[in-house]
Amino acid sequence: MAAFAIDSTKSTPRIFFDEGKNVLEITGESYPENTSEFYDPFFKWLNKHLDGLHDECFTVSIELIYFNSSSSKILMNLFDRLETNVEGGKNIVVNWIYDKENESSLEYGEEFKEDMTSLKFNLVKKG
Amino acid sequence: MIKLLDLKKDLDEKGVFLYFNGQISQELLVQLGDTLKQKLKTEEVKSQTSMKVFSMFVEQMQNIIRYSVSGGTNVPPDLAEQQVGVLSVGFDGSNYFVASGNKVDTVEVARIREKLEKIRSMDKDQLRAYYKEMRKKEIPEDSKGAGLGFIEMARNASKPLEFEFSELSERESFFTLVTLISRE
Repeated sequence: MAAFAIDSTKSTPRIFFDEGKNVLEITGESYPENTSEFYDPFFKWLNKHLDGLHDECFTVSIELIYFNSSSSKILMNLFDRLETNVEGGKNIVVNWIYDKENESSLEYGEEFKEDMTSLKFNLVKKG
Repeated sequence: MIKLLDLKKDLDEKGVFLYFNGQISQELLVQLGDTLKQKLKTEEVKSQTSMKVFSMFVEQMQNIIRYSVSGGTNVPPDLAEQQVGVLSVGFDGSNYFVASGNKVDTVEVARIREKLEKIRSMDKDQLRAYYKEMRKKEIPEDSKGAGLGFIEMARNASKPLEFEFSELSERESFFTLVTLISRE
């Protein structure tokens, strides 16, 4: 699988794919000026990665302190994409990591989880 | 001479602690956003409240960046000023407020008003359902955002969104949006 890594900035998250563990991590904050433009290279990589998956488990781990409304839409697109792949027989797990001090982060995670039917979506308390 | 002291007194009196008037960029948003986060830290508010204020700030700044349009009838479109607006953040004694203002095309007023009135009529549960419904929808290719900004703001606000349009000319109107976040 091809590697993928983008360093974080104040308004964009770090996106890192750990090839050894088959874990994708999205961490930090997300409020870029042009959200679709920022995430476009990531989705291109993701599509290829999903196509290349067999039986192995692919974990997507998300820990976002803050994301704006257009990033919320992008996350929805991401989860929809993952769900489609699960329905196509792929083994994918999402870990939504939230801070116990940040109630909204848990609520946001719950709202995504509710919209998923076949994608395994874990809400993971940090600390 | 310009009376900046009068302006400052007025802002202080209304509890405004962050104010900007002019052209807004993403870089400026990030810088001012940092200042805002620092300020809220010293106020010792709950992290959730502080996050809501920050979220209002980002959504409104990005609305100005994406949607503010201006230019008089004599100005060619490429010379018209863009991404220009006013933004203020303050505390009125019980609520934080984030307010912004920018020019919009007068022909757009009815559409924006309708959108905001619809959101204003909803309670928290309805807003939650509406937000999720809109998030599932495909975004038109030419759209600059996800169209979720106002709903996100309404969900974070402790009172319904307040807004006003003032017609500046046949072509231009000034749009003011005020959002309140209870300090709790």
